[in-house]
Amino acid sequence: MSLALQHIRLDLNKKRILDDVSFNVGTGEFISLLGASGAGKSTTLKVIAGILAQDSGHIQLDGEVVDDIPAHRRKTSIVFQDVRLFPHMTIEENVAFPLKMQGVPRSDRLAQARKMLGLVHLGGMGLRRPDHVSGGQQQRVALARALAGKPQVLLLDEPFSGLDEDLRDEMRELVVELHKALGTTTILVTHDATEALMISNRIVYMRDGRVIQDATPTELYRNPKTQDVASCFGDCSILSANVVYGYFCTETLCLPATCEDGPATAVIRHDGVRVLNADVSDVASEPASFEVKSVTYHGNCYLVQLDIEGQTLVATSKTPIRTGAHVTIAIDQESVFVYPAERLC
Amino acid sequence: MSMPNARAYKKAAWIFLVIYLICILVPIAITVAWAFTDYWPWPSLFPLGFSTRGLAEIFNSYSPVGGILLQSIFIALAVSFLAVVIAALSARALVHHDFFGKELFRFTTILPFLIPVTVFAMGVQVAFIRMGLANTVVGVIIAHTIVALPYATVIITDVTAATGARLEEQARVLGADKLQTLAHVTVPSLLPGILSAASMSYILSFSQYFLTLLIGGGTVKTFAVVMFPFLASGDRTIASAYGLVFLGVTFIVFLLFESILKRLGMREHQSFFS
Repeated sequence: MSLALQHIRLDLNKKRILDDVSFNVGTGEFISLLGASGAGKSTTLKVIAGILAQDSGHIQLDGEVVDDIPAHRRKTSIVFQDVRLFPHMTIEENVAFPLKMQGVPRSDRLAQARKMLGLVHLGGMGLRRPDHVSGGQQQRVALARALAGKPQVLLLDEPFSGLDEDLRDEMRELVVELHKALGTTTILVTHDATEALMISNRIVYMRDGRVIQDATPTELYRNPKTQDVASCFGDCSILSANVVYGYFCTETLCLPATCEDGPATAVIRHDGVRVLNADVSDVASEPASFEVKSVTYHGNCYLVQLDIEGQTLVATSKTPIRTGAHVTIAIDQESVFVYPAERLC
Repeated sequence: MSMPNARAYKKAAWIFLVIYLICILVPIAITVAWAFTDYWPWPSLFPLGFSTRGLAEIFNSYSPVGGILLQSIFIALAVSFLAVVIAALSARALVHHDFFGKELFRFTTILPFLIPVTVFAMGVQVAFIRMGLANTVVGVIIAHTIVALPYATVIITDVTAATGARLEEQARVLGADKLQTLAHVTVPSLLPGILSAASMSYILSFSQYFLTLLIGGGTVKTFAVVMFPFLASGDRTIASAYGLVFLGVTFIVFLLFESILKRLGMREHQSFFS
């Protein structure tokens, strides 16, 4: 089922939470809502599901406006970050809950619940209580429960963030697997940009209740529209300087920029900066050599912190480098993103 | 270092347990003993002479105590029902909604805590006489409910706040309408608090003497009202027999509450209303 948000606006406690949010999700698509906490991602899910009513704008499911359809009849389902299993029911009763609400007879719905539990690799655990299984298993029960009612749109509100690394990968694979198997239109809320890159067809980046960029993962990674989109993937240096005649220039570093002249910020990805020659000389004789402030070992490379007139630029090096040495570097064009400096108000 | 310490703690715990048991069990034992005692003069350590006079007085006297007992239980159950329903609704308003005068409302829910029953009974009596509720069972139920409400409200407000709206939200997106959410999610998750509040209200009503006497005007007889003269007059055999019946009946009602809790799926596999 396709979904469309049109100019959604919402104030809570006199604070604007969503400001003109619009995007579309095609049938069977898997999209991620990406952004820092407080960006309005979870609120957007609640508006889609009908738990919160927007102040203006429309939600459409398959081209039909559903603003007046209450949450329980919207055919959307949410898996929350804090799991929310019903503590007074067994695991299979939890999973059967949406079917029970639809009036499916007890034996049928329990049989279906067991089938769903099999899909999330929890077969045979149906009679346990939610608090008798691990956190990762609880999250899978919640997923099975959300899917049991055959929702047209599945909304996942950071369902992996409470889990540790291994479980998170496992859960992510499970979600992708289920999406392939069932083809349910899915929206995942996450603040983990790499996660969004890995599993979605499209990413909607939000900040302060607004959609900043709506693009495919490749597009978002290669052409981030703003500084925070560029830096959300982590592993980058952020430098401030002025853009003069199309170049972002500090005293010692000059990079081509596409934005207009004036104060600017550059986001430079670590892996786009390589150390060329270590230890050119201890005296900064050459103009393009930088002093090494510190070095950290990162497994596949060394991360070298370079001093750029008091700011720090991180470069990578295959070989260890001495702190205090002077080095020359090469910077990849496509790892540099220059944006006009944001005015702080 | 830690071993003798642990031993000392254990010893202290035992001492407290024994003191606790003495405080609870000895009075009960003495009540039981007195209920079947004919004669227990001062220096003698044990009662002299067994007697069933006390129980005989209760069950064979001119005043039909069985009817009074049933009426007391009925009043107390009605009070717990009313108190719990009103408290649950107030708790919901206090926890989940914002409205003008909310803090004042919060204060008024615990106000009866602060006013002595004797003082507020006078006011209630005057009002009830005007409304024609004095000397009626309904009047007594309402008066008891006023006393029980603050306790019930405090208990249920805490449980409501602890439960939050999370599970209700979840039920809604899983396709439950408002009534289904109430029946399958809200009530079951509040149930432990609801039953604590019900037990509390029950015992407050069942043991209420002064208020019942004043509002009921002697026409509405409850077990506590009938029992009191024997306590005051000093016929310990009969008073203790009443005490024993009081204890037994309360115990049975609480067991009933407990079994309802289990039946309604808080601790068993069956779910609520399924």
